[in-house]
Amino acid sequence: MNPYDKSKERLVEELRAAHSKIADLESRLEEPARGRGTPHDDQGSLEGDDCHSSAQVLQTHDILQQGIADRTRIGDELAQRERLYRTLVETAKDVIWTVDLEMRYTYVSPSITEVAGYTVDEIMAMYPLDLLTSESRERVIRAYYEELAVEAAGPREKYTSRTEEVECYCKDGSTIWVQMTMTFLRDEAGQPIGILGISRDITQSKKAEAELVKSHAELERLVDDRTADLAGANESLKAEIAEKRQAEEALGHSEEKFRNLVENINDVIFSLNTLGCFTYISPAIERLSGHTANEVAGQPFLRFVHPDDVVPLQDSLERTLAGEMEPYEFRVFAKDGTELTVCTYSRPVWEDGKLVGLTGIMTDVTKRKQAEADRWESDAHLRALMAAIPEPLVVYGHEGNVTFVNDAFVETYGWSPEEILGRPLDFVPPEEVEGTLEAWQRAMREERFLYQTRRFTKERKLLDVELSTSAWFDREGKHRASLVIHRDVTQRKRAEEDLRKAHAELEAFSYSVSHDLRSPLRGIDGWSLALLEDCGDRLDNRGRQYLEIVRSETQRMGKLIDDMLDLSRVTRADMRREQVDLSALVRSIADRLKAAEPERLVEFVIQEGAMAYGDARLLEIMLSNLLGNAWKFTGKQPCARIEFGWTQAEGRKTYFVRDDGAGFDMAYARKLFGAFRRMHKTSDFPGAGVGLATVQRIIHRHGGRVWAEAEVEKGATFYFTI
Amino acid sequence: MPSKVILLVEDNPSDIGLTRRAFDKSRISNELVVAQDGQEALDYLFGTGEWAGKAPTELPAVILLDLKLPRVDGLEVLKRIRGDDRTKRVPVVILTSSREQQDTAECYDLGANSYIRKPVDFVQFAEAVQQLGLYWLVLNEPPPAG
Repeated sequence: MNPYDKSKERLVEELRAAHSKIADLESRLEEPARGRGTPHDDQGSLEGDDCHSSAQVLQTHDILQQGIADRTRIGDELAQRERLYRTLVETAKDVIWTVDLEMRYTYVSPSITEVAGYTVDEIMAMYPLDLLTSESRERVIRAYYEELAVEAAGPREKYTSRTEEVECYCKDGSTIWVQMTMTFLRDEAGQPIGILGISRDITQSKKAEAELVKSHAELERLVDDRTADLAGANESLKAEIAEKRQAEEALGHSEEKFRNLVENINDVIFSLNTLGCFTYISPAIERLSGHTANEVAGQPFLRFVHPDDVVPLQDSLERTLAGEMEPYEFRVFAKDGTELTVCTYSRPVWEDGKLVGLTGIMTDVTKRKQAEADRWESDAHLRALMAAIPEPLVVYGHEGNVTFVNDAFVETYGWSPEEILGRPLDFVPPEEVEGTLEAWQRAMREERFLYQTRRFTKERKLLDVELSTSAWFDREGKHRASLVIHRDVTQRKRAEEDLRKAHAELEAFSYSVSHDLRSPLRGIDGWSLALLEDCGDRLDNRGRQYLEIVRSETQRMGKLIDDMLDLSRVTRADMRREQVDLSALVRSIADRLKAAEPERLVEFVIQEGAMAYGDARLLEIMLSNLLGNAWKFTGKQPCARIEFGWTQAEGRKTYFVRDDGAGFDMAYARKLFGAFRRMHKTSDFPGAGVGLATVQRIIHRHGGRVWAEAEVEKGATFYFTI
Repeated sequence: MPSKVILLVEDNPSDIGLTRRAFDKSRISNELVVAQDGQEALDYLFGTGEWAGKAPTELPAVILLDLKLPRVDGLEVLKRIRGDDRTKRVPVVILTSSREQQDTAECYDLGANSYIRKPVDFVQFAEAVQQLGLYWLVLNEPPPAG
């Protein structure tokens, strides 16, 4: 039968019948699609920045509606957009989930609610296999064991996946068809530890497919049965049907799709054709680079890419086309020439088994990269600084674990960084453990302090160290880490000890010398006297006078030696502290002085009740010296007044001994307390010049301070604290 | 006045001379036996060494003992004197230059009867020796013999 024999009328009639049949079919298709597609969440409501996009959404919507109204003018543009949006939106609509090997959910993405009606909490409490109809369940279990068997047989490609189409129960009891793509999740050793699945609702397409298959079969039959004209009409009709279906699908989902797009609006969405030119770029590009979407459209992608990154990017794109899905970072230039770092994630787009380009998402990571670089910079700076410190340095984390040591530490202590990093050191000698723990507690509270302790080197050599500790706190004031610098004071300690010993030896030596010097002096004095007594008649007056001078000088030297011994004893004597009534001491010393020279008219004014905590014997020597001085330096006046009392200065009791005697020039006050320093001529006021040195030593041994105020001929006041 | 001897343990000839002179001035006529070091003093007291076979029948009225001595020092001599039944009761006066508290304390602990620091001034020294003689040779009731 020749189809060309059919009359045109008949052909048109048949076509019309087929057309209406399909229209009817599609209207039936539309019903459930709309029912299921009703948006029920307001997450995507437009606000702020998104208003701009909202307008665009509406605009696009209008365009789409127009396109549907005028089916014949549905062109490439719509089809292209539809492809892009579907790619993006469907990805967002998919349910992503993971289960462990015992088939229990470990994660389910929130899109489950939209697909099957369950909340995430509900689904997490369910057993995945219970969601499947019995036929599907059997298939999935079979697939699972097959895959496990393959797995057990030996190594396989890393990301092989298996896709099954299964029928699932929704919360309302209805069933949907889902395309599940499953991949094993693996641990570092490559052993499967669970399954990652992506479930896509294919109910609509499955139904549409079934219906389409039907209608296509019908059309095919018509075409087969009818003429070439019919075949041509059929082709256009087929195209029309496909377009209509696409347009309507686009319309049905457009609001939802665009909402998803808006949600991701900060990222730039783009498509490239096989020549690498932009076929679409979302308006967000303007925010990223300053280019408008129109400026970019049609341009080769590589035009915007930093020259150094072009080749690697091309490689990456090729890998993408080969099926590898990997994020890729590179530099691009903004409109104003600024260099930006972006990260893209793209995948190829295939159409009828033919590669038509790729689509992707681009994110501005410039700030993150800069922050990373800054951080690296400051880290490097800090590490260089810590490495440059010539003393051992350790950084401890909050838990007390070692997080860093510098080279000097390794050199001094002998531990390699590998031996100590990450765990507390065991170089604390047992007797220092308690103190070290206390210091650590202190380090958690205080910014900075010094701490003296001892540490073992790896070779168990004991070092005396001074630790300088400082701590980092976070913004909430919580302790983060402590930095400890070790100063090896072993040498200093040894030197101090040597000095102390040398000092003690010197003291002992001078003491012994003083003793030994006294003996010949006694001889000189004794024999001079013997000479005077036994042979005095053979000497003239001058001779006897000389001998007397020899004796008095000898005795003066004896006195000097005794004073020196006293001074040395003051330094070496043990301290026995007790409550001492200074007023009572002053009174008894005053009595003694008056008794020694009863002819002098000296008035003592003594403030009662001066109690002090100190060594009674040393304090008496000290007061004897001060009062003795006062007594001595008032010796040239007919009457004198000597006063003892105290005042309160800077919260401390300050005692004083005041006289109205000869005084001294304050210009020499600096030399006042040195041993053998004298402020007056011996002929005016005799003395060895160790009295005030003794006073100062005693006061210092009590932790006090002594100073003087005086004026020539107007008396002197000596102040002291204990 | 009893004619008991006074034992002076002293190595410095000048000091020996001065001590002798001080005794003379104080009209103390007891014989002054001088031992120039600690060993000699012990030999004299116990009839050993140089003094072997010629030990004195009578113990000294008082022993004047310097601390810094060649061979056996003063403290050791004192220890031996007090450690022997024959000599433990003899009065011992420490006559020394030292004013060190530790020395003083140790001497008393070891049983010294008194402790005199030799002054530089001979007049004072002579006075001290005079009083010493007066006390130990006249006023003090000596311990019963041996």
